[in-house]
Amino acid sequence: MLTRAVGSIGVGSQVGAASVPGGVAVRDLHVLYRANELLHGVSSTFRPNAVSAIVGPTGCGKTTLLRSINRMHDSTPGMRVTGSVTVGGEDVYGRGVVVRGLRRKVGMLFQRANPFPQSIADNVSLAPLAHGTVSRHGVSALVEEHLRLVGLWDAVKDRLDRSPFHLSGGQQQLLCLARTLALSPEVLLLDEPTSALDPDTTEHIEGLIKQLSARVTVLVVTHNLAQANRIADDVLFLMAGSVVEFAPAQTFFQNPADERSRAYVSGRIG
Amino acid sequence: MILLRRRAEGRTPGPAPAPRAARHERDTTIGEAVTRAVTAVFGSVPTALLIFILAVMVVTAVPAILFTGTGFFGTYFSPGNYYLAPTVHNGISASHGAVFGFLPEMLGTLVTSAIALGLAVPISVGGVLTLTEWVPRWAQGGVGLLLELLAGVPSVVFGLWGVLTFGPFMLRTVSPALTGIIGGFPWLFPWLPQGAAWVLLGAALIAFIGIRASVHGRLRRRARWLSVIVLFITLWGAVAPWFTGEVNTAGGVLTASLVLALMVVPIIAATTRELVRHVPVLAKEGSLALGMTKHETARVVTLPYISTGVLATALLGWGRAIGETIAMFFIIGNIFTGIPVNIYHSGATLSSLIAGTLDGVLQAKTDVSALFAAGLFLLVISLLSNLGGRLIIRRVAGDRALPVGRGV
Ligand SMILES: Nc1ncnc2c1ncn2[C@@H]1O[C@H](COP(=O)(O)OP(=O)(O)OP(=O)(O)O)[C@@H](O)[C@H]1O
Ligand SMILES: [Mg+2]
Repeated sequence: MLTRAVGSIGVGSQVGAASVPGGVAVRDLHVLYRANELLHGVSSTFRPNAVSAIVGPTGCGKTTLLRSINRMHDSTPGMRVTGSVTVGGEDVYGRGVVVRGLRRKVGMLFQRANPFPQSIADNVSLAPLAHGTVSRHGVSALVEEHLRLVGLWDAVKDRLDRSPFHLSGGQQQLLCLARTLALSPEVLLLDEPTSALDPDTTEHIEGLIKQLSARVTVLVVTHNLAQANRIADDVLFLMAGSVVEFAPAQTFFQNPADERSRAYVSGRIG
Repeated sequence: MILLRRRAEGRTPGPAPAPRAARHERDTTIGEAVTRAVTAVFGSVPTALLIFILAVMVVTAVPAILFTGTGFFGTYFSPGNYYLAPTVHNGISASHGAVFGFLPEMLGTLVTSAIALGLAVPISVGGVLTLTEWVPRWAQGGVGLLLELLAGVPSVVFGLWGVLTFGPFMLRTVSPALTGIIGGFPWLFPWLPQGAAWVLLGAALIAFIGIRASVHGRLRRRARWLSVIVLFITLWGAVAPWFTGEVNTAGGVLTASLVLALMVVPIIAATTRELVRHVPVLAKEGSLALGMTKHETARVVTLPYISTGVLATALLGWGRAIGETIAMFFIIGNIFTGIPVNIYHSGATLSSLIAGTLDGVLQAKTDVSALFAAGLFLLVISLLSNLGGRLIIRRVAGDRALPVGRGV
């Protein structure tokens, strides 16, 4: 139990041959807020062990799409989700689904940093402790490993028991990423993970995402097309709550099928 | 700001521009100056009022202070006998045999309010957290209204209920059971005389604070637990004897404390509810998205977010509990028989002493002066506790600062 939790996402750790990756499939997904439809029937299959970038203008529904995958809309009154979402073949909205277990498998990084009002170390270890994926003795190793993974260790190793709110915005975002990775998720939903980071750190995180995608299905929302070009295997282009194009990255950037994609890629939209 | 700086950088160095700023470029306009003056006047009103009240009370209390000196900390109060020759001390004349010892009343005030708050804070916070999780959103408004109505119930009603209904119930049922249970374990600390317990308590407190301040890392967590246990044991050693012994009245200190707690709960709960509602959704979602339960989220996110606010509210409740007069007057009255032998015994608080005695002593100037001195003690206690609470809040907020103005 312990070794799995600590080792499965480590930089140098081996890919478990038995680990079943969870591809994510969305079928005819409609999300409504009261009478207002935010997503108008989105369908896409995000390949397992690949990085899928979700791009589109502000307010087009990227975050809304991500949130339907780990059922974050459940707790927003007035939000309704229809259609189907499957993770690793399992219906996310099916009867008898344990949301707690789903969210352990499907990790999410929010658009804005939201660390716990707890110590830096506790930010990383609280969820694994709550899920029992780490023992008390393994905590400090777990904390160090994941802080190193996101490149935050050297900056915080002397103040692990201090508040995270004294960290910079970008550092807080990295801490949140470490917190998400500490649960060894099978699917990662990243909502603009590098919007608050400098180029060097961005490069590190992009490398990390590529590395993780060897055993994790990654969905990453980004406004940075160059970044999407660098890290994505597939690109989903959303506009006003509908899919415009979903294609391999190379196709999307070099020879998009839709005129609007062409305009977006060349910077004329969004 | 950034724009301004850019413009400043972009300007080529040359002759200084003429100091002829247009009206809208000046830092203060006439409107602003007027606003500032008005704010200053209104802002200083509370301070001036407090100083005025303090001054009046001190001046009025001077005769009694001269007459009694440190005798205020005695355990006996008596307005004296008007029909016999007056007693003169330090040039102040008072009724025959007048004694102004307020120690039982001071302790009564502190103990009743401490017990009340000790119960009210966990009950309110726990209740509110449970409520916001289990009661559907549409019903929560109703609960909030109910709390506000409860907060508005006049204290005389609480007093009547306390003395006529709740007191007898305590006398018949609760107090005998409590004294039976707690008194049934004399073997727990037979070797611990009360004095020793207090000394130990002090030592433990010092150790507790010292350890918190000096030890870091994993050791610190362990040491903290140890000191909490020591603290608990000594506290228990010091406190338990007060919960044993004879139960002889409906209106004892415990009854009064419980009624006080009931009066304070709506105040603390109503504010706590507001605090909980203002915890950022994003912060809670961070926990939920990791598969943590609502309960874990409440513990990990909500509680730290509201803790300083709850402390501040508790201070308000504390102020109310200390100053509460009429209900306390009804329930424990003002029995001047020294320090109560236990928590079930009747006693007095500073405010119940004032309320109960004033009418009978209006003719005796020095007695009135002594009551003002009692009021002064009350004021000082509430000011000190308020300041203490503020210090605690600042300490708490200093380390685990709330994310105000931080973030991306
Ligand atoms: N909780 C909510 N209540 C009401 N409307 C919402 C809510 N969340 C999102 N919306 C609406 O849904 C639409 C899509 O929002 P979403 O956050 O998914 O956009 P986005 O693509 O992530 O934009 P951005 O690039 O700015 O992050 C917006 O029009 C927004 O107003
Ligand atoms: Mg978004």
